[in-house]
Amino acid sequence: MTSSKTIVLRSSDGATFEVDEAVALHSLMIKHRIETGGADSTTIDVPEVTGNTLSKVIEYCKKHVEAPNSDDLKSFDTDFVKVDQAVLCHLAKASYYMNIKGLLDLSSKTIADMFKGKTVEQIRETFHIKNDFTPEEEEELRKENSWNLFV
Amino acid sequence: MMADEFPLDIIYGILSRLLIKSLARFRCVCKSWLKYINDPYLQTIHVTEEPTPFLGFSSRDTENLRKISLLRVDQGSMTVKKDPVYEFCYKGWSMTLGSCNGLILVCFNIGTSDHDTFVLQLINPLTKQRDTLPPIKIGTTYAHWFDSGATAGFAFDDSTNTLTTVCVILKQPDWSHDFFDVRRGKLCTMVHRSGMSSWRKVAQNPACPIGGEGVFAHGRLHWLASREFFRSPRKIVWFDVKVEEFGLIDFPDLPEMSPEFHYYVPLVDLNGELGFAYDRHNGFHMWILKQEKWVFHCFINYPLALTNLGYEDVMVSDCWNNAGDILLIVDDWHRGKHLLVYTLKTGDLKGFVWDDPSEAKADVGTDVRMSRSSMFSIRGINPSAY
Repeated sequence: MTSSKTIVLRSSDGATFEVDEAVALHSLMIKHRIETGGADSTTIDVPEVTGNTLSKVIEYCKKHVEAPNSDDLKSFDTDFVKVDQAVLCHLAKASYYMNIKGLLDLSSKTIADMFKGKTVEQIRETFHIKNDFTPEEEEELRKENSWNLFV
Repeated sequence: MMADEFPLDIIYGILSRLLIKSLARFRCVCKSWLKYINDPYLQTIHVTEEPTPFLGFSSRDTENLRKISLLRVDQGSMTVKKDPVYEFCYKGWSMTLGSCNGLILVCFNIGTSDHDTFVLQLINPLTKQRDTLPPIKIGTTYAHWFDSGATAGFAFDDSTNTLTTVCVILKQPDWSHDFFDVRRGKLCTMVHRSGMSSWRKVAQNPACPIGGEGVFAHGRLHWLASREFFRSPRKIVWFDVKVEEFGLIDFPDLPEMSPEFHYYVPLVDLNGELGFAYDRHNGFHMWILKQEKWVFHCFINYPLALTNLGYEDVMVSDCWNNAGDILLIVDDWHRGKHLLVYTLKTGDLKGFVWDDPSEAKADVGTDVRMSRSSMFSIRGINPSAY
């Protein structure tokens, strides 16, 4: 039985969240901080993550730590990533910095799914990417991809 | 999703999950994406896709021209699609030598009746590119494919990130191919790696002449060795593409094998492992080489004795999908060519449907290739591409 010790996580914008230590340890980054931080590590700063994102990350960790074998874990995950694109990107970055593999895989896969079927123009629009090719360079690349029949 | 805001690891993680054909398209998005997609690192982490079956259909286009059509086979509905993905014409005849990483190696004989000129080409059905390999030169003379009784193998060597083609040929044309020792003493092994402008002679040669297509498994190309006498035990010759050395493997010691078994046993690529299938009259027994030991793999219940087919008419091909289900190609004189898939888990044999049944009955060469697209195939086979 793990102790009911709690940890406070502080986001980049100063929001604080009190969580069970077991839940916090789901993030390998926090686990490392606790293990190397000494007896005084009850408040941990997470400057790479804003309050809104951190609260969602904690929600994910709670579910996965407290009920890892529940039948509805899969549907929880599916619903968890039904968020708008910006939130999804923030979740991906947060899970990367906080070293939460499950959430990183989940968000990466969801972003990858968003790419499917999109044209090059749609990708640029959705993710606000500037086209830095000259028209000639782009034409050359497109010529190499003449497999319309296959698509 | 600005590239500079996202850690590279996440970008690569996302890209590694996309289909290869999507990645090819997304090379146009911006210069950073082109760099990421062309990065050899992405190839190492890219999720292995299910192989795509291509049916290569050879037909006569006009009096002098033959045509190769590559038809797509839809795995879900088990249908051979009618409209070809890629088609081209050529003179003379052709022979498929091998396939890997989504590319097909074909030998074209485009010569006249008294002098054959052959050309080796790498075909990429997805990008519709055909790249010609340099001609093979032994000393000062150009080798002739047919006269030299050549055997080839084609593989991707990930230690050097190159497409490697290995050709074992006779140093000089020799029509006495009945004499095992004579042929054995006159062999010469040539290797070509993508990016090179010529072939290189390898120091070693196989212990005996070889035949058929090379099966690539665990860094080695494997071929059936020719036999010295009719009832000599069959062996398998392997060539390690990294260290460029040859070796021999025996078949498993199975007492119930008839002498006919040793006559022709096709080697099979079982998702990167070497396998073979032999007919036991009530079906095919398949064996697989695991950690240099032969292990019984499965039994495909296809009793040839109950059909009008002969031993040569049913060919156990390679794996249909990543789960290891096996493709069988049946050449039935009455019904035409058809494909069967053996499901490893359930033991079911499921048949295919042709969109255009007349193509199944066509009296021409048909070859089915399981094509595994790879990052390499979208980068192109030009030296400048990588």
